[in-house]
Amino acid sequence: MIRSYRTSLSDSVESQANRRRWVVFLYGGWAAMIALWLLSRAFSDEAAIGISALAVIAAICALVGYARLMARNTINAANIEDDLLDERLIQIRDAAMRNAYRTLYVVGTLAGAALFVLILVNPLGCEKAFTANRMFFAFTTLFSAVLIPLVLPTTIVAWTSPDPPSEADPI
Amino acid sequence: MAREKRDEKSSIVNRLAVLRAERGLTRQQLADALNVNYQTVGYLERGEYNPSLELAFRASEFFALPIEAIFSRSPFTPMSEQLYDSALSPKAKG
Repeated sequence: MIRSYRTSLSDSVESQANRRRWVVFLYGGWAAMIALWLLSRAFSDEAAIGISALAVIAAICALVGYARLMARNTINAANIEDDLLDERLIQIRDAAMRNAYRTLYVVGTLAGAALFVLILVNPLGCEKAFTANRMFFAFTTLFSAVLIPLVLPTTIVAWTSPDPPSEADPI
Repeated sequence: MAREKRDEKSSIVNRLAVLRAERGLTRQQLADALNVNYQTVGYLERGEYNPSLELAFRASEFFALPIEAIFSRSPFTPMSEQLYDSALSPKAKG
């Protein structure tokens, strides 16, 4: 099973330029969908319907791009388990996960800060009364978004690492 | 800069392409024997990936050669040159 899957991975090669086109297609479609959706809010209802339809098409483009990348098994190594990968692909997957984590950490921190402002400062004036509850909720959100991802790798290593060999161990 | 330095330090050359050609194997056949993806064989041959010790041992067992005959930290002299030198050595003549 393992061997056959490893060998079947070999059929899934595309040039780097082509793969990058699919990545641009994916994120481009996603960005276009958001932009069109935002745009539709500024126009009349009729125009908004048309723009929304375009946004749906852009979202489909993003999904097709993602599906295309996922269908290529070696490229999809980031989502495959150890047993099905060889050592080089495991290294690629781990590097991808590390880079994705770093990116998501920055995004999470910014989102946490934005939520903090929205909840505590309440710039949109959604709720007039300033309560201790809201303050607690704001700080909890901020620390959850920032602190938990920050310490997660360290806690995983702390939890999973076996006892180190002692200097006094007999030979 | 630091990464370049590390890569430079850890670069390992190998004779996998020569040995594979000598035995008339495809990349896929060698990959099956070493239990890796065939692309990994390609990256190894191009010197763009350094094998783990376990994979190096597997290659050594498969080709029935010592590891140092397949992998080296300094460039190999061509096998033909080595063969010629060993044929001309006094020991070989005697």
